[in-house]
Amino acid sequence: MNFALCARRLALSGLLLAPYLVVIPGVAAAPIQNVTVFGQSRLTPIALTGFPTEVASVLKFDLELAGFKITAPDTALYTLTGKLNGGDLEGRLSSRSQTALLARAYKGSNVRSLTHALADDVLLTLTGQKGIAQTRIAFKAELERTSEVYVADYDGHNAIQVTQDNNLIAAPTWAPGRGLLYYVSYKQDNPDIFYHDLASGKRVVVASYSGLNTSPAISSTGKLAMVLSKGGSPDIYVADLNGANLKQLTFTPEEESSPCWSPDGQWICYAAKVNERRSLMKVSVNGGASRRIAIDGAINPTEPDWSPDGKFIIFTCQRAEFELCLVPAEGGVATTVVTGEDPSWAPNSRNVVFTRRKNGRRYLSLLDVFSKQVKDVAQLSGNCSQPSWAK
Amino acid sequence: MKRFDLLKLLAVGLIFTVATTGCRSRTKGLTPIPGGAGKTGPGIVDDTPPKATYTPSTVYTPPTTVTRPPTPTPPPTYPNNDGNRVTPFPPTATTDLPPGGNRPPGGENTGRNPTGISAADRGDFEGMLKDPALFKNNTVLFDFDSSVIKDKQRSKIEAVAAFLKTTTSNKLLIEGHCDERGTEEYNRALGERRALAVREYLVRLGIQASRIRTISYGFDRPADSGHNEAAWSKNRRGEFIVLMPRQ
Repeated sequence: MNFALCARRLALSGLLLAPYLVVIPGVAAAPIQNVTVFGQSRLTPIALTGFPTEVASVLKFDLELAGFKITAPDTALYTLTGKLNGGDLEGRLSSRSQTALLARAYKGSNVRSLTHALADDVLLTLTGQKGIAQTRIAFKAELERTSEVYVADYDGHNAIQVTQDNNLIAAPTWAPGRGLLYYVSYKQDNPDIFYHDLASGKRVVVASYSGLNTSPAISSTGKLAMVLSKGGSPDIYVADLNGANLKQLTFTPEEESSPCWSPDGQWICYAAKVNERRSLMKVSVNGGASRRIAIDGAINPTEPDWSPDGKFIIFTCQRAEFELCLVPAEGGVATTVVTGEDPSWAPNSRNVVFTRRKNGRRYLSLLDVFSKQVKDVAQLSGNCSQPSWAK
Repeated sequence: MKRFDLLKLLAVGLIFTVATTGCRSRTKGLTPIPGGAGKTGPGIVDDTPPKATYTPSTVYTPPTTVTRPPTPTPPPTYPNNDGNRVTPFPPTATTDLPPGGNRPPGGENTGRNPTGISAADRGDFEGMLKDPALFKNNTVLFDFDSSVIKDKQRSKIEAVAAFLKTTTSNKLLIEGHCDERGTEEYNRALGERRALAVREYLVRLGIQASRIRTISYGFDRPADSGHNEAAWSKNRRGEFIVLMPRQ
């Protein structure tokens, strides 16, 4: 029996309950060795007492996406008690043995924000992992014949319209750690790539070559990957953040699409057609030959996204319908997780925002890849798609 | 044999065209990206909490909301399904557009794409009048997930080629479209590939590549908004829009 399994048993027996270093089974702080573990993670029972309905429902949303399940106090491993005092939120976390693990008060005007902060603190206390309840997403929302870029809390609340081009937009994506959005707008009667500084509202065109300029992706090292067709076919290019120092990386007559970056900024993974077969490929940022990422058990891969911890690539595969699939970054056996498409990882390498379709309509949902729990994001009225999780 | 000569001639002509006109240097004026990490926008609460200390009864106060400057003409707002109103950003302060778009620096296209005919300079199409009606019935239809031009569709393109040969001041915009069944960015690339396939056929028929530009809409502009094969077969298409010089 290996050490990980031993530790898991010990933790299960409730012996390891020291507040800060405990690795809770089901919360999966330990590195996952085998891809088949996805979707089989145990849920950690936690009870919520004393909170008003709105706070309790936000906590439930946040904690379930982190691998918890809300239960009655007598069956729970942990109890989170709290109250809303005027505008102030108070939270106390204790173990089954009544050991106090966390006690904090939160002051502010927005109850949802305070509650998200509490949920992140609970997660940090129990798992040592930074939560994602206070992060944001960007996405495309269709309004009849036009579409615009929106930014919202990760659960879809507090949505803000970023563009007002009254035209088509596509493929919004964040520049990691920079507060900048990149996206495609058809404002100049052509799909061109813009960046948009959310602090100042200023935006700049970074790629408006003749033909297609789309699918921007920004690396942690500050490089822009994108798809351009100026050479006569949609190919992968790389450039600086402002579009300078353009370099072509693929040279095929077929279409390449959806580049994404390895977290170290050394590799670009993208979707391509090789010998009439759709595949995921990767190419070095410095150029050279592209290599196929072997995928066993999933066909027609598109829309890859590399996990921030570097271990997995999640992508859309297609059988009768679109499904999200995970494969180790070096290739291997793919695991189908859930029906949906266009996944984008959260900074925690555990949650994913993606698009689902129902009755011809597209909308956004969130996934916990370890427990397979799925929750819908608060929606705008039209089609919402192409989500990107801020990192 | 004759066709081979024609192709040779075209190739020489194309190289000459690119060498003489194709590659103006890139427009200056791109603004460097301001600011460093961690900036947030007007109207967005910077709700990153201070580093947790785990002292019991720590009081956490999120920073106050940044007040948005008033917008002169408030654009429409859209309700969330939970009743929240969506507040737009203030109108974009600056849009720094290089006129005519970025142009590749001279000699930058290596011609290494096996079938690549470089895109025509979009600056040469600016301000032209669009006529989407003239070849409305010549829309080229494609098979599912394919950019191969089917034999039955060729005559539609040949008619457009004949027209362009007789009206040399006109140019052409080809729109590439897809049905809704592919993924979104894959379809944007596939739509471009379809438009380029039509363009390549026109060039084989003797039309100058510099007279034809392409645009892909992916599945964003369906001809038929239905969700069945009848609609999809109409949506996988290349549309012709004749571009005429302003008088």
